[in-house]
Amino acid sequence: MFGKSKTVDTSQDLKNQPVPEGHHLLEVDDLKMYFHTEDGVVRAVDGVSYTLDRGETLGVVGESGSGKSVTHMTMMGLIPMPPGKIEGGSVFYRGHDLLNMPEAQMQHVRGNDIAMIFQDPMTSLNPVYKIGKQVGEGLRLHRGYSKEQALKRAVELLDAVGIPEPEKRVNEYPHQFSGGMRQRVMIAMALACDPDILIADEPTTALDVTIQAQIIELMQEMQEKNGNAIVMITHDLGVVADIADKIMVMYAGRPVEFGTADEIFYESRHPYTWGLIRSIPEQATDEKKPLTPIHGNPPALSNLPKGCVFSPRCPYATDKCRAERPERFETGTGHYAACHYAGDADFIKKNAPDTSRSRKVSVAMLDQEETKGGEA
Amino acid sequence: MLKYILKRVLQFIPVFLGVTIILFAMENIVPGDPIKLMAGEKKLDPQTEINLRASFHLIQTDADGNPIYDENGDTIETPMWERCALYVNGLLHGDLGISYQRKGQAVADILGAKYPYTFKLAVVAIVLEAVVGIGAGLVSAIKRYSFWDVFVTLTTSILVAMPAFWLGMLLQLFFGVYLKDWTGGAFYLPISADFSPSAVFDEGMYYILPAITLASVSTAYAARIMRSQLLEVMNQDYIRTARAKGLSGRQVIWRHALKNAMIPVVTYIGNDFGAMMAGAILTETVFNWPGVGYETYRAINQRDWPIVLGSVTVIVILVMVINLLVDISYAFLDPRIRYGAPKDEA
Amino acid sequence: MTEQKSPLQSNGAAQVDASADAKAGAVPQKSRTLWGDAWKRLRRNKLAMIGLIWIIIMVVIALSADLWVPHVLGNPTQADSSTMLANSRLAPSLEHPFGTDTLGRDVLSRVIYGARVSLAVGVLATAISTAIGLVLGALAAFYGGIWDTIIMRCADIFMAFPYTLFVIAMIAVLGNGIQNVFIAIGILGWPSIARVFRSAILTVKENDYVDAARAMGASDARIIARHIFPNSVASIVVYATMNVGGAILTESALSFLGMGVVPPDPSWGNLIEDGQKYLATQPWLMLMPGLAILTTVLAFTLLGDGLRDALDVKMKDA
Repeated sequence: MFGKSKTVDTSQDLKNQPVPEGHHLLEVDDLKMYFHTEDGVVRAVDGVSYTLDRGETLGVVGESGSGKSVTHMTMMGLIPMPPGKIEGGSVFYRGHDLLNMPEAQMQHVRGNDIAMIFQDPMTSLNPVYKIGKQVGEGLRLHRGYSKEQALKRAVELLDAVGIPEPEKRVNEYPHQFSGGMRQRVMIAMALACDPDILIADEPTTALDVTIQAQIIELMQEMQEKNGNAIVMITHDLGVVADIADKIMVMYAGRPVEFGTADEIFYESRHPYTWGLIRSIPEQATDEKKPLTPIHGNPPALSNLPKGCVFSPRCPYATDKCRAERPERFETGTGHYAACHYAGDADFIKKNAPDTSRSRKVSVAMLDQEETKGGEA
Repeated sequence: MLKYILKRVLQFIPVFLGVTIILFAMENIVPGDPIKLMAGEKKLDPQTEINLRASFHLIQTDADGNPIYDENGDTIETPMWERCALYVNGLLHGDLGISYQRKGQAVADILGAKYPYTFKLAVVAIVLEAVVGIGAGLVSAIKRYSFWDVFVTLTTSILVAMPAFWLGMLLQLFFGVYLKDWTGGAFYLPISADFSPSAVFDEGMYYILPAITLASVSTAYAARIMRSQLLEVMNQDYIRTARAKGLSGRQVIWRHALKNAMIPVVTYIGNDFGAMMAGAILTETVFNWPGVGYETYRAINQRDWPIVLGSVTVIVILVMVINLLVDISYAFLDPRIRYGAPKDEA
Repeated sequence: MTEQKSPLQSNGAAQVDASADAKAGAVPQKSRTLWGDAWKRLRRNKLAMIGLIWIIIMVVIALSADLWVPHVLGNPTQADSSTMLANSRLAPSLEHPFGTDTLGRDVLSRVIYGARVSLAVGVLATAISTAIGLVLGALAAFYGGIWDTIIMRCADIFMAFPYTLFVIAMIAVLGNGIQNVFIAIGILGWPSIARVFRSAILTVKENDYVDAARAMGASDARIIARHIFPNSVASIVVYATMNVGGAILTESALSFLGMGVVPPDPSWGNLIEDGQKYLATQPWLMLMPGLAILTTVLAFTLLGDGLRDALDVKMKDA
């Protein structure tokens, strides 16, 4: 297995190499990945583009099945091919092409340069191994730590993510941890090798509301300390409201809008984003304004509607929407929206939600939850 | 851990008592009066019959084993519950009664002499099952939809659908008859030949066919369970976690998937040891193997019920004890049980 | 199991919950489409169809045997003493496709009559154990508490016995004969069916429509018959189908040991036992009945697998 105490030269790691001039830390350009199944082609990822820099947080928002997880699994090379197949586009990390990287080198990127946290902490840890072994495994793999070194570091990591009595708990098994504690373990595990990018796939969805805020706070704290970038995948626009620098809204495998958090909240140009904003609960206000849900269901990815994929559910859809796939409307700041009318100032003005308050509300809610916090 | 073992042992007791009572009931429902069956055609004189009844505790005796008579000079029948208690007591002391046909011989002695052969055969079969079953299941799951996967699936389906004793005969036919010249008759066991254990058991060769026969069905099931378990485990979230950590496909299988997938398979194989002792009756009959199974078969044909029931009793108890041990060792494999977490969580 | 649950789920809900009319609207057709869909899926499963066709062929041959077999192939039990020596253990030929046995009887004829025994044992024994299992499983699941404890402990005790050995011991007690084979295999098979039915009920019982039905004053028996049984029937059908193959195997083992069907009546097991003596010289005597067992049991397994997939029944293990 591993050498006893072999030290691995980490200077060759991609994360320790400079970002080439004119590049971002992570550049995703028109990424397309389709599943070829018996029932036809499923366009799971269909033209995703974004850029990310160190220290930044990207929120990826969309309903389940919108392709937000699959996009990032694809970038990490975690989608079995076949049935999956890259149909186009590129992913560059520090100028290195991730999609065409040899598997051995890619393995070294996974967990070392780019780490992932998954939705359900109850099932994401191997039930038959001790926590310490699982947290330290990446270090042994990527840094050549000995068993003892890895365990010692695991204790420190557990301590850093706020697990009490880490010396004792490294020798315990996952089922002895609560859900929130397990997610802390997952974070410790992901951060073990000081990754450049942390992809968190709905890290709080399976947790109690009170724990959710703690976990998000922890991730932010860790980010401040390590300077890594975070990709926060969620179905809840409220969750990313106050932590994301950039937000990408996805629908049916496609990004429908991308921009800075402010652009998404205050200058949104896509009816789907409006729908998401309108469905953030505004309990904090006295105003008896009903929630406005988006009616209908997302389309089957194997049988997409003609034209704009959102048109069947869009209250403003016109014949043009139902016939032509919209081009991206770009504002020049990097903000884009895939809507025929994204450039129509009157349309936007007339229909966009009044967001002067909604974002602040959701931020206030999060703050409230944080103060309520206290783990079960 | 201790709590778990204690709990399993406590659960074991009512099952054990239930099984013993059922066995006792069987012993006593067997048609015919045991003493008359023992005598066979001969007519017993009354005193001998009374003494025999006394020795079987069918009638009340005093401390020296002499029959007690009531005021009419008749013997007193032992009540059912007392005989049941005596039976259980006998069982616990290794007393399984006396054979009807081989007069005076204790069933425990007759079976005791046969057990080593059955035991050795079962050990060979278990090893075979573990190696072939796990191996085939692994290959099948890792190379899913490949030729090997189809081959394993087909073979296991056929193996579980054929009577094992018939498979034994097919093996005899193939290796012993058709390939006689090539194998030098090493596999061919002449059906009616005098079977002397000392000569035969020096030859490891003779284990091969009976062990394959005995292991066939269980091996097929072990392979299927291994396959489905590994495929199921590979779909678990923690496998994705391991891959996201940067482990290679092989490392993921060997370090993360295998241990989880093996737990049910090992349990199955462990429990199988008992089932093999039981299944030996057919295999041993086909191969004239001088074990408990063949002895039982002979006893069935001679209507020697104490031997039949004795061997059933011993095997049943053995199976139960082995299952208990397997359950306990299961806990060593699976931390969720060791620490008392519900098994199906996660 | 989720799939088979949903269609019938609305049966109960329809009476109570008017707001669920969207779901309940399709009730009458839906319960039909469950089996219709299953049949469609089953028909697409080639292996299962091969199994089903083979079973049908066997059943037709076995049922019609009296009409033609004795005339075409010869009497399966009665040996003709005049031709006995001349016909003893003939190799397969056009006249005797499976050859003849020591007494000059046609082996195919005996295998066909053996099929009657095997199929009868398979079906009847399964029927007995299914009936016992359903009643006990329902009692355990529906009334819970002490019933559950007693019945499931009994199931544990029965399961603790090595099955074949237990059957042998039962026959030793009851005596030889086909009716005792039915009884022994039937009685000993109940625990697995009881467990399946029990857990199926427990799953179904969680559903609101059972509470709804009870709230409407339906009796326990009615709830079991109208609501719970239809929802568990898929898993029972699958288990019973697979059980038939197992019962056939057990019967053959018993007859092979001389404990089940006793000569001169033919059964696949005792035909193999008979053929064993001539393994080296006339192997077809044991090959043919063995093949009959293999194909029939395989047919039931394939059909059972197919039904399991078609009805989407989750089973433990492989």
